[in-house]
Amino acid sequence: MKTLNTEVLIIGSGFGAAPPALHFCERGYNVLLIEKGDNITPESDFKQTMDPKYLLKYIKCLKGEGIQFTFAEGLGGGSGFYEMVSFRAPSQAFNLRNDSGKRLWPTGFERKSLDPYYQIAEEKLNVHQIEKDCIPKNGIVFCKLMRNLGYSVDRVNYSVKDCRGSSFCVAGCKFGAKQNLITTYFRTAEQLGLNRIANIQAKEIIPLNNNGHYSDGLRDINKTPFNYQVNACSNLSGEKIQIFTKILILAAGTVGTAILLLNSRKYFNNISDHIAKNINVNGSIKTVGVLPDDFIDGDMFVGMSHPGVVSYEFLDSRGITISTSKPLPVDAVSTAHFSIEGEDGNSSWWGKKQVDFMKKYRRKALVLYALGLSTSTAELRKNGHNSYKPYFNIDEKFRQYNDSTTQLLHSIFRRNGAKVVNLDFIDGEGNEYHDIHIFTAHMTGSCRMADDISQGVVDVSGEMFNQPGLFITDGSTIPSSLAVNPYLTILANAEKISDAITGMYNRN
Amino acid sequence: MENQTKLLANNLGLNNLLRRWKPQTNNPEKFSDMMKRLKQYNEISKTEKYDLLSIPPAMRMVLKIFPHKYCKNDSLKEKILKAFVTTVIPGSNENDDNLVNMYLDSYYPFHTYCGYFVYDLNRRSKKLFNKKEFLSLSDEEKTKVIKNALIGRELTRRLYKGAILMAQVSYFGAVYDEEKGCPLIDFPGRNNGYNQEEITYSYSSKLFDKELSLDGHPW
Repeated sequence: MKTLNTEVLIIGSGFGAAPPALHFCERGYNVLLIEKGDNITPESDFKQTMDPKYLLKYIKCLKGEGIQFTFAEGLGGGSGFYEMVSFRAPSQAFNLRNDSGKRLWPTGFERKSLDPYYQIAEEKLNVHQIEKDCIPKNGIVFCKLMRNLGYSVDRVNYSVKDCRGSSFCVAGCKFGAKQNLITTYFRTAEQLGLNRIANIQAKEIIPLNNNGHYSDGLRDINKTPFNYQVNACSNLSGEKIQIFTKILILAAGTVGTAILLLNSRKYFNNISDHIAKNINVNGSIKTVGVLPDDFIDGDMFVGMSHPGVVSYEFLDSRGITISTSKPLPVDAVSTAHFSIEGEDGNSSWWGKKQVDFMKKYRRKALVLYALGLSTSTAELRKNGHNSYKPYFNIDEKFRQYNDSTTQLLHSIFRRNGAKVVNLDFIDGEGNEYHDIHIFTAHMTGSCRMADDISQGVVDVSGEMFNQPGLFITDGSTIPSSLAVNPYLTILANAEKISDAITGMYNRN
Repeated sequence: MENQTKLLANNLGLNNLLRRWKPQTNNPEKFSDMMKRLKQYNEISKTEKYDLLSIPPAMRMVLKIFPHKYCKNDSLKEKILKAFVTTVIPGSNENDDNLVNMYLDSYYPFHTYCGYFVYDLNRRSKKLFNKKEFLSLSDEEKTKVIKNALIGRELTRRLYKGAILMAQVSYFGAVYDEEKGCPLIDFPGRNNGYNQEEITYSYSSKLFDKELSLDGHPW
């Protein structure tokens, strides 16, 4: 068994991990970062392929009842495989309330609380708004569909430099155009002394010297004892590793952080009951349509993966944003069985009809999807020894949201003369789900921040209630759906928390 | 006992297919007898003389109780698999070297029950079309064979749905030849990027007069 000591241990390497790694390194702390997945060198490891063997090395799924979570495992977390579309969450998200009327976000936490940190994150990831004359063809098609009905469309922001439009963004950009955490945050942090190790999985956390009291005033890192022991193991050699740390930062993502805490629960006193609950699904609803022959062509296979546009038209009235995406062929056929509405009602998920549809897919198919401020939540439940499964309670409220949103998206197609494509979503073996099944990579909130332990897991500075020195900085702290891609909000919140933590400690 | 079956299935890469199958008996002695008998059937079934259809498909798959030529004869297996793919994806090229790679790829569990799958295609063909083998059927007849399997037992349905999904993923996604892409659906595959005029339309800048914000963040 190997034993390591460090001042700061960060578990995970995604959007929640990058800011604390950089902040602590900039201030001269001894920082160790461990990542469960593989090390990634973007220039040589990213490939233009949809080969499941390659993708499944990094992209993982947790399948459950009514829901499937998708997340990345590997250095940089989701930053290697995201669509690089960068949103500040709308103000409405921060004002969401639960069924009892209680605000989901902590008191005083508003969009303007995050704006300075959004700006920092945007600068570090080279985020800028797409130029009007660079919108990919599918974005133009979307724009035309919406404008025909009098709806507004806005251009989105991207984290990209010198994009070639090769369309394989979600497989990892081998050209280095899409900005990821490996070549931005971590490269700088490493120059400042970050020690990072891949293929190390944290198994459990044991609190040491924990009297449950927060020290008042500035905490002196030199006088701070090793507060936490993390038992980990190498995924390559199986070697067991004990890591002792003064400050522990959990940034393994909404799924990873919650599972690690559940597996460590026996060692903790007075830990929140909210761990692994309240998981927001971001109200993800997807539809597909086939454009009329006389409509301009789109292009599913050329240009950036995200088509550069979003409509906020229904944010106030329905709490949703509408956008479009460009699934490559493997994504399309492995997500759902398609049948075009009105074409004799028979499913056309294989054979001639399916080939006819796939021949139209590149130029004439369009995906419309909505993300929404839904308050229906999922949770992780035990499913065997140290194994967990997500459950999504599809309540009446969510059914209504699903139905009304789907109807709206379908009506956008129909009023433009497009045909709606019926989707039967399928599992990994090709079997249809018989009820609503949500696929999301936008899950947040399994360790949400709150005013007190009766409402959540961490306070606004990311520190776990009753666990001094244990911080959570990833998407699990975000208490609500955002109706937009959450990565920039996770990154900005991690910047904000890192600012707060480094302000709590004195390095001298 | 159930664990024993699961272990066996797991060793053969069939755990997904067999996860709902349970042995008919709870008596360990009877179970042991059953396993012995099934092994004997395995021997008997090496030729095509006996078709032991009374045995559940799951057991026939696990213990390879079907004519062994479907496992041993790679050329026959490939021909039948290619015919299956060209039926599922009309227009796909049967001379494509990569057409059935995914079925035979040891990364996927399907390769372990590939033999049973091609046997089942032939068995259904003979049953439905007067002893004609799958390879000798017309496209329409081949389609009927697959449709017949898709309304069969649950295990059979899952096997065929999985096989169809693999054909689509592999062929449309050009998984075994990213350079070539999939010409049938105009998927270009691997590329070095595109010119501006291929990515967008020249008039795109005129379409954004109704934006709600200057920076993409209206609220």
